[in-house]
Amino acid sequence: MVQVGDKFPTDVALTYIPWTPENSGVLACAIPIPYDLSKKLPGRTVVIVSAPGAFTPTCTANHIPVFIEKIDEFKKKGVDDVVVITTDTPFANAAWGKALGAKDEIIFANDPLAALSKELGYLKSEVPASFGIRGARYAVVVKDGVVSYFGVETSSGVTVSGADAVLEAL
Amino acid sequence: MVQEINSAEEFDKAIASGVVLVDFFATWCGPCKMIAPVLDKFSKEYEQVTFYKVDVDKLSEVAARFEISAMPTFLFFQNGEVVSKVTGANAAAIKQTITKLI
Repeated sequence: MVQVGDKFPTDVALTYIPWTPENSGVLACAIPIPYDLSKKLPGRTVVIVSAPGAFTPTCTANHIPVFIEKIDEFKKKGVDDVVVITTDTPFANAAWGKALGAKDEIIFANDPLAALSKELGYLKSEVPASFGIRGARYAVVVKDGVVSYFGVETSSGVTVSGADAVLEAL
Repeated sequence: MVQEINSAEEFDKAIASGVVLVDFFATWCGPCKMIAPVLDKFSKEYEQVTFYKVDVDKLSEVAARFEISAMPTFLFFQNGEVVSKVTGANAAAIKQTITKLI
C-alpha cells in the first residue's frame, strides 16, 4: 500500500480523450491519448481521484461534481491537473465527464484493469463479479511525484476522498 | 490532390518547407470520409499549399508526436513548424486558415 511520503508509481499507462467542444463531436472521431505519469508528475501538483465506475452513484453525497464546481479553488492552491480515473474505457469516462458538465478543466482517464489502484493497494471490495475489477473510491495528492495526501473511503458516502478534504490538505 | 505519407522520414521531408497542410485521418472515421472530397477540391484551388494525409493507424508514432486525439485533425506547417490547427471536419475553418496563410 502506498502511503504519504512514498513516490507515486509512474509505470501504469493511463489514457484519456481530451475534451472538445460539443459541436465537434459530430465532426470528429476521438481516440484516447496517454496521460504519462512519468512526464506529468515531476515538478507539478496532481490530484488523482478514483471512482469505482463512470456514472456510479454515491449514496448520500456528490463526489466528482464537487471537484468540477471547485476547480478554481484547486488551481488557486497550485494544482496543475485533477485527474478522475475509473476502470471504464476512456470513451465511457469522457462521456461521463461531459454528462457531469465538465469541459477541459478535469481529465477523465482510464485506469486499465485497475492497474494503478492495484499498485496503490486500493481495490474496491464487495463488487458484483460481473462488474470486473474496480478501484476503490479515493483521492491522492501528488506533489513533484511524492504522495502528500491519501484519502480512501471505507464505507459509502464521500468524506476523505472528497473535494473539501483534498482542498484542506493542499 | 492530397498525397498520402507512408513513413516518418517521408513526413519530416514533406513538412520541411513551404506551407503544408496535413490531414490526420482514420479509415474507420466517418467525418474523415465526409471531408475528403472537400480537401481534394481545396488542393486544386490553393496551389500555394501542399496537401498531405496521414493514416493515424499506419503512422501511429507520427500521430502520437502531435498528440492527435480526434480525427480528422488538420495541422498547418510553415517551414517545418506547426502554425495552425483545425480539429474536426470543418470545411469553413480549413478554408479560412488556408486563406490566412497564403
